Amino acid sequence: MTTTKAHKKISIADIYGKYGIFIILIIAVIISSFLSSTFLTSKNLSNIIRQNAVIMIISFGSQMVLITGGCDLSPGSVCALAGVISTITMLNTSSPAMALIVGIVVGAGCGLVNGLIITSCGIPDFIMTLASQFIARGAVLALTNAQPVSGFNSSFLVFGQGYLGAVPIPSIIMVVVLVFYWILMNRRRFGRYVYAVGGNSEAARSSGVNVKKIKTLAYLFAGAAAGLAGVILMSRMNSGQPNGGEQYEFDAITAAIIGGTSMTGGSGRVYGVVVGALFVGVLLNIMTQMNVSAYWQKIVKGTIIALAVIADVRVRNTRKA
Amino acid sequence: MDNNQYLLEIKDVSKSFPGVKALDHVHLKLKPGSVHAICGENGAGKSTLIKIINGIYKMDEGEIWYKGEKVIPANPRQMIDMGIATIHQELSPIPDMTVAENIFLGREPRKKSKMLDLKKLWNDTQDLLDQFGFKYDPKGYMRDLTVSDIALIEIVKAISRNASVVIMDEPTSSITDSETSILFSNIKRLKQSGVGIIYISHKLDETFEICDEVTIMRDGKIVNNYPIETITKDEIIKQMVGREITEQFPKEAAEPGDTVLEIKDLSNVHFRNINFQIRKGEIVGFAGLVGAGRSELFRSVFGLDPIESGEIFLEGRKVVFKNPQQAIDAGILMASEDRKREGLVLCRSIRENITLSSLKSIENKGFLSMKKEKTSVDKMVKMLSIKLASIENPVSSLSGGNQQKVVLAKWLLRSPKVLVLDEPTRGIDVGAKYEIYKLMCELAKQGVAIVMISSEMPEILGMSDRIEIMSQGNLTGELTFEEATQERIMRYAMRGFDNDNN
Repeated sequence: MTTTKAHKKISIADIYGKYGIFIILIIAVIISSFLSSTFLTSKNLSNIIRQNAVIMIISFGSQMVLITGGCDLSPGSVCALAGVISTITMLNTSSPAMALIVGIVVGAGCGLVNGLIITSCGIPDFIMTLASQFIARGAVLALTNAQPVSGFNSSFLVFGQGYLGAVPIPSIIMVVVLVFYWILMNRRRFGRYVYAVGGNSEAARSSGVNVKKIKTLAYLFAGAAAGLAGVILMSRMNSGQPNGGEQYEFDAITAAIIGGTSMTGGSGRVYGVVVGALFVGVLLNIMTQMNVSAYWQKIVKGTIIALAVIADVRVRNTRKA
Repeated sequence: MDNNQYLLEIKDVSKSFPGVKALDHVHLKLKPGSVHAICGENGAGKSTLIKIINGIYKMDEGEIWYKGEKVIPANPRQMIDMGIATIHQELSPIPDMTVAENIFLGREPRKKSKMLDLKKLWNDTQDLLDQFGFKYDPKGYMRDLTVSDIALIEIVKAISRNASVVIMDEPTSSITDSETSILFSNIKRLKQSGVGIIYISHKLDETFEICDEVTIMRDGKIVNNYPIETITKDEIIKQMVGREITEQFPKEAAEPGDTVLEIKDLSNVHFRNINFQIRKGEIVGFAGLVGAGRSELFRSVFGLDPIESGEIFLEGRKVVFKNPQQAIDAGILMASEDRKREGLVLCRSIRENITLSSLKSIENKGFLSMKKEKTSVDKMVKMLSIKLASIENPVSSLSGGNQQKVVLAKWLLRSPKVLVLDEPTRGIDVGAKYEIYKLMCELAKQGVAIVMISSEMPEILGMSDRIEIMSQGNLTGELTFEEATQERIMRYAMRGFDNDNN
């Protein structure tokens, strides 16, 4: 291979772009372990991972949509709607498998509707998903009269509270989804098309990619992920909570962006979102341990999402120059 | 040395990017009232030099003297205010603003009350346009204009700042020949008023027509500097590439086979009743002025734009392509004239761009085989001699010529039957151009039918077995390689325009 005139760039921006999030996570862990003596205990760490499963699974979907150049604001509500319908199914059938499938299908259905309307009517992603955030939340509140669904067979609790040996089931589900998602993005044609559509949809179309189909499927995936997360969440809470999952979309988007996913589409690695979600998990965990009020937690989260986007823009600009 | 003799003087300027010395002790002296050409291949350092002069990049060492004073360009705004205007190759209009608002962007006339003086805005714009002899409506929106209109308005905008130095980076790359002559008469006017112009163009004929002096750059260094009368075109090319190009076009006589593609009575808003066929191994050049409907015709054939009426036959069978996907699967491929917008996913790697359209062929039981992919990509990189550090680098890191090769590599992996190349050598240096021409001949020999849409006359004349000429949406003429002359093509291309436009 010829290498004349090749630009070999190694800059702080590049290092941040590649490893920044790892460094930040490690720093967060170190600081946390100084702040709290119980932070580094295996019990607390496994807690973080277990509690993180829901956000992590949602953030896979959010990341995929972000990579296509879109933005999904609906998963928090979709997660509640799908989760609650899943608990109602459980109440009626007493079959956890059935409840799980219904939860995922409801989520996927919401995603499909998002995707179809966005691609066929050409409305901005965030407007459509903002609308469906309200519609899904309204639907779940109307469906339950804002009352929690309970009284179902306890076999449902396996998704959120079960253990396989010493490993929590939600973590296992999370890892299975992670592997599935990684393969989808890195070893399937679909993943390449997702990156191409977000990087330059015109070029993707001219290269023979069905842009609308890819975008719609990304929303479908995001919806299904939110549905699955809803099942785990309701199982963990022991009841179908119509107010559950509120603002989870922001945690998911924060995880994706901190993990190096570009707001402008076209780039973002799967491992990034994992590390990003862990970072958010660590942060929330230590703040709770330190008795930081929920209000202040919101301020911190908001600040971090802004900083992550600033860093993304910085990296992008230095690369251009 | 008498500093006042020069309007702009670049002394010993160097600039490095990580791993590459973009400028190496560069000198340049611009006299008032002269046009100074900078010639060089892509990657020679012309753009870097321009970006240092207009304050986008900071130099590592060296000095810039402007009107006898030393200046340190800090930001683009400062240089514009000092009187150094740049017409960039990449146009940056704001589509939802009017012509007048675009021209006066950032320096809108205001009333005493600090409110916008719209009346003055329209009037001043009208005056400017009249001065140039352009018939645009100051209140017209930019989004309704063609690329060539936008280029002209950018030129008006830059010159209207009363600049003392105007830098033009490929100003004619997207305008027609008649518009070029309007531009040249304005350049002459500027010269007379003492403005110094730095002129960058790959079109050497223009350089000879308009420039007084020429500086040749290669690999970040100044090779030499001549008054234009003392040098020839061949000599410039030789010094630019550092080697002798014996023949500019590697054209070989083709032996066309059976008809591959036939178009019957094809129409949509941009073109009417087009009949055309192309045979295996043929290279057909499509000439015409910008906006003649050539690109639009093949965009419809390729499934990017809708067809209103007419039929397309591929190897004798009627085909209808609703989207590019179907055209690609059938073997009709098109490389767009705007490779950044429609050809490449700039932020993704060279590898991913090359295989984007042929992922099916590198699949193994439904999963992408990284090994197969690397083999395919390496083969293409070698075949097209794409200059790169790693196939994992983003395409945006490559020079224009190499980016174009990536687009070609993507299509060659699909083994095309018909390959439509829309302005295949736009903004590409001489060396890379030659390589692309050679590749086209090689493909034709293998039986690929090639349609080359081009606004560059030498390329049309030098590469086509047959030339089709379009004007205002109609196919107005056809010439064989032997019949074709520049004048004949021009006559067909102007058909349908007023006589006094000729």
